[in-house]
Amino acid sequence: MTIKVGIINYGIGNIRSLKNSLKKINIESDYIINPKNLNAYDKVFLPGVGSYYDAIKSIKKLAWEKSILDFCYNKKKNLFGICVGMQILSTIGYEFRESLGLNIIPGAVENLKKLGCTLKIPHIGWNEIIIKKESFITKNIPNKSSFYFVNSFAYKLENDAHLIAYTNYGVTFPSIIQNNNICGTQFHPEKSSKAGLQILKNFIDA
Amino acid sequence: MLKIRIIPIMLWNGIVLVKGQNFKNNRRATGSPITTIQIYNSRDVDEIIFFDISENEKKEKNFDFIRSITDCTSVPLTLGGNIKTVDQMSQLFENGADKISINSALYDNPKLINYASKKFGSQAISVSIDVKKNFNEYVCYYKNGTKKSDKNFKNWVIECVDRGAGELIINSIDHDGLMQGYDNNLISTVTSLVDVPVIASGGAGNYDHFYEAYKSGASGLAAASIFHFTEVTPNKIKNFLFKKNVPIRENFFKN
Repeated sequence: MTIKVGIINYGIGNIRSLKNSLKKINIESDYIINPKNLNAYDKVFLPGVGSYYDAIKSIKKLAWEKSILDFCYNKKKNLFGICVGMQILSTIGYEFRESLGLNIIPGAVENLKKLGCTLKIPHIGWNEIIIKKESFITKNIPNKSSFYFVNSFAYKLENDAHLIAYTNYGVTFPSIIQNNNICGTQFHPEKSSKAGLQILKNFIDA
Repeated sequence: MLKIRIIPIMLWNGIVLVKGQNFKNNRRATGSPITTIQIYNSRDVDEIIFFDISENEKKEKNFDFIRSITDCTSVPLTLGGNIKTVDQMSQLFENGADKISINSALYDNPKLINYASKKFGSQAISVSIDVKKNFNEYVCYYKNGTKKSDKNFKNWVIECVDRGAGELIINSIDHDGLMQGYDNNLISTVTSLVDVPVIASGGAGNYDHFYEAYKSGASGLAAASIFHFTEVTPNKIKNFLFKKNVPIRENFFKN
């Protein structure tokens, strides 16, 4: 059986590079523009760059919320949030103004400065992850592997059990999170060369 | 802690990749852009900078070509060369660029940095500055080093960052292509003025040169000739720097 892989296209983010990275591991994927078609897919990526506020506004405006929740909770299929796509899985975000997220992995998304980081923001470049807990997503990934980050905000998890790996940049913050069939990375696997491709492969193979 | 990046620079003249000396790039062709970028990508480099230095300014960007470049990279890619408007940047991002580098257009229109960084975020906007020493003073040049600017060098560095540049690429015209070492004084001058990441470019010819530029404060170490013309690869440099305790991204598959 071949699995169907989709990338949610809600007008936010460089989805082209994700599709190309999947091609490199021999996975064909479709852009999904209509929320009604979501359930035709087995594994879905929720990408995102820019602000939490813009991303969640766009998700709600284009009527994605209900489909995503149904996909995750009722169909129990696998969803992978990338960068801001991961952040909006949280309960609430504080970029620009308070906005309610999808609340799939409880937590809040705060500015790194507010979390205590005194280094230069945005956090941009290659940084290490420290693996905290075993997960399908980190299979064959050595501890302290580097990934490519671009972020000014970070997740504060409500439940430590959802923490798979964290990263240190003046302050520690979650870089990989997972709640059962739902996972997310703060870094960009599609821009993280071979280590990133391995992460994408782990998600597809799981 | 963030890693120090080793960055191959590619100069494309509209047909092939070229690499000359002191910004005179018409002499030596170094290969096909697509094959070269595929090799860098398969070698798991940290990042790639691709400059279009073709001089036909009226020429429209060929997006089929740009996609053939961006489609084969799974590391961050900066595109630069002949970029004058925010619309052009939008198109380049849509076609797979991760960062845009701007240079010559800024001398007439410095506000372009403000508009670009507001629209795309400063993390996506890299300002490139070409510098030459005249009577012991650093002077900014543009249009591939052919035009001299009136801007005061230090003020211009600060202005670019104040306007929203997320990163600076500092190219030494005097050291370019000679492989005798970076202009370390230039690098430390710039890194002492601003706190955005500075990418040093121009002059790398051996392992120690990279270490010296790192010591001068560079966050990214760019090079072209050493990768085109010698056996040295980005990975060999990373291994060398790693042994000297420079924070380097270890390659995922060690070989």
